Amino acid sequence: MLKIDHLTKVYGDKKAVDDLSLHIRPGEIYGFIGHNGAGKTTTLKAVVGILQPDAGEITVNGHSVKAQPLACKQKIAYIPDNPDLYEFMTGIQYLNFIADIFGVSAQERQARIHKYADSFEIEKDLAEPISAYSHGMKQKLAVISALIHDPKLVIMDEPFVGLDPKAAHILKGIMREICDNGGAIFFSTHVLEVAEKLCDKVAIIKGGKLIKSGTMDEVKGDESLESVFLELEA
Amino acid sequence: MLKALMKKQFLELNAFYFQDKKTGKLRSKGGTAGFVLLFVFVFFAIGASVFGMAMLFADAFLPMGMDWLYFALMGLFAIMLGVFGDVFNTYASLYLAKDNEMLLAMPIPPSKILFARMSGVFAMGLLYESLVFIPAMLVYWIRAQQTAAKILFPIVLWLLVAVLVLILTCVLGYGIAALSTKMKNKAITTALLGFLLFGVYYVCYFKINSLLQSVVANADKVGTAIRSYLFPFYVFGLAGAGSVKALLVLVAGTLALFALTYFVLSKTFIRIATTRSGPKKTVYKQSAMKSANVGQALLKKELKRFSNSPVYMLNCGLGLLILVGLAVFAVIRASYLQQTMQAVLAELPGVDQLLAPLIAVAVCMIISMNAVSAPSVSLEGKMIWILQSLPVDPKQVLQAKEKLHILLNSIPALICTVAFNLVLRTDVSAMVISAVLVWLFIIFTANLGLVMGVKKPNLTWTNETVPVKQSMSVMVTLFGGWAACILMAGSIYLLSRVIPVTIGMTIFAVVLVLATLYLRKWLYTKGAALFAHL
Repeated sequence: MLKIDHLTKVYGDKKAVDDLSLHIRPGEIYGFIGHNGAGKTTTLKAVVGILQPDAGEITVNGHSVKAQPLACKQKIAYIPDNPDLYEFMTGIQYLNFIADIFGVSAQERQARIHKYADSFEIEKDLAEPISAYSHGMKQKLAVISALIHDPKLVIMDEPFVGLDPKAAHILKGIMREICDNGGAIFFSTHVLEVAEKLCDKVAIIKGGKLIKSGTMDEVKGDESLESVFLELEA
Repeated sequence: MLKALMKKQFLELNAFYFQDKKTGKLRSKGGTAGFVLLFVFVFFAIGASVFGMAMLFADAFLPMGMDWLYFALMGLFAIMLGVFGDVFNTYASLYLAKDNEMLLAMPIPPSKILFARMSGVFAMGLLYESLVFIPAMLVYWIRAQQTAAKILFPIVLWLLVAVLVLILTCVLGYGIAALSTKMKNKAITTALLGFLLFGVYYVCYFKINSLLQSVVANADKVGTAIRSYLFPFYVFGLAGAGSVKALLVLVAGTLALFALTYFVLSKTFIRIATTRSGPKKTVYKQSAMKSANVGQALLKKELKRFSNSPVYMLNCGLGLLILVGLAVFAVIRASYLQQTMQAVLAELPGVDQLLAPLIAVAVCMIISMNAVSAPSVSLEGKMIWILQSLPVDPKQVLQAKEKLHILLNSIPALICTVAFNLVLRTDVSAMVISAVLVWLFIIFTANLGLVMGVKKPNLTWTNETVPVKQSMSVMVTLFGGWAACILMAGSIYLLSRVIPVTIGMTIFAVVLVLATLYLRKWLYTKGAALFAHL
């Protein structure tokens, strides 16, 4: 589903991501952990085509993000860590805008908006301008907009920040559902307990370099993910 | 405690001089000094023009023994300016202050917080009204026969005016706070109010001399009107002219009003400062959805951004209203324009040949002010990730921005061009070419704005005023557009000496096409690639 080969991204004289390679297969929830400034967001942004890598290759379903960005983006959904959305739109206008861009039919979008907005309990707020939304509501709207075109690969940067426990629980269920239907999830998080319970695989990044990756058992063995992470970070 | 609160309030007020609002950083010493000097210059420049007005009134009213009318009118102007300048500051500092909740959580009586805030409002009000009242006092001291009362009473009035401004702005600020929470189409209302204020400003600017002359010429009627309908100003005027009784009544009345305002506000301050009741919530009800293609969706998004931002509409849409207004003027005052043109032709025969290009140049100059496309890239701001992560070609994004610029400008500009050409009876072929020239200029400015927007983006703003009013792209489009207009006028005029004007206009149209093609080529190749990873 997603293949990252020798990704390198440099800012000035600092290598934000250094020769990173990962392979995420259909059906996998892949956690991406690392301290602040380790290179997680840069990697995720490169995957969704916002940042151009200095070296390396990223492919989604065999399509190169660099050579065929639109074909890749059609399959991807991206939820950033800080949901800066169009505040001049109402929630429903924003969802319609995203659906129009992805060419989702009127019936399909209606059904999906109803399904997810109802689950996240923001359906009645969709007629309100986004400027009136709380951080959590914006996060929920960003999640719904990401799911509106039934993506095959969902890239999420700290998706649980700002979500209430119920919404976080629903999101975990949706993540599992996407993977059960043949999709894949690649997300960054600081919440190691969530990563430990939710992820099939995990990658740890430090100073832009991948220092450990694999199935949860391969990475942590009999220890907790937290203790492994702290050991590796030390 | 009150001292500390007042100190904080005045630090906040003076931060304007020491802190750059754009970057949040402290200004350099030179920058601060420059800013203070600029402020002093503006203060004296406005004060000097008010001084002239005060002289006119003093020379007219004082010899007639109507000193009270002089003070009544100057007091009225001072209060109007004070309220106009201070009301939005009151609204923001009294009812929307970001630290209200923090201060209310501390062991400070709300009445003290309110008092400190009101002292800031008083200071600002004093500053604004001083622009009128200090020159008025100076003129009175120069022109009137001096007595102790005539020297001292105006000083008391000067302070009283600031208190009156404070009372009025507190009441009006409360009204604005209440209205703003209830208003639905805040952006459109704000923009319309802005347009209205511009209109009133320009009408006053052009009419002020005749208005002042008319007041002076009809002093008796104005005096009677003030005594009948604005009695408090009559008392105000008498106090300024030296009446002890009037001054005592005025001081007592003003202080009573202030006490009442302070009492009511201190009783309701916590509720006002902590209530966040927006307009009535609209509950979403499911209805049949309509889909649109990518181009339409992007264009709709651009239009929504424009129509939801008063700053964007006011700064990049004012010229659209001017174009429509001019077209209406041309039609309504057709005979006046035709007669004026006849008179000009009698003086400058042959000028009629240059009418069509002159109309085109004038319309193009106004179009340059409507730089809708110029700030549109920067306006994406922190939301640019949306377009960059969606499966949409950057070219389509830029096309939508270009289309909005062309759509908004085309109809008013073409109506205005055709209206003036028809009214001034230019040649049909010249009219057609001038319309084509105007339309090509619209496309040219759309592309110029976008090229500059992509080359010099500012995506880190926290207030959209920055990309709309202070960005390089808007400046270059505005002044570059005007430079192109001057070039157009000059080259068509010079060419008209050797070839027919219509041919000269056609040549310039070709130049515009070539320039636009060059800009478009860059925009949709290198520009689009840049936009994808801004």
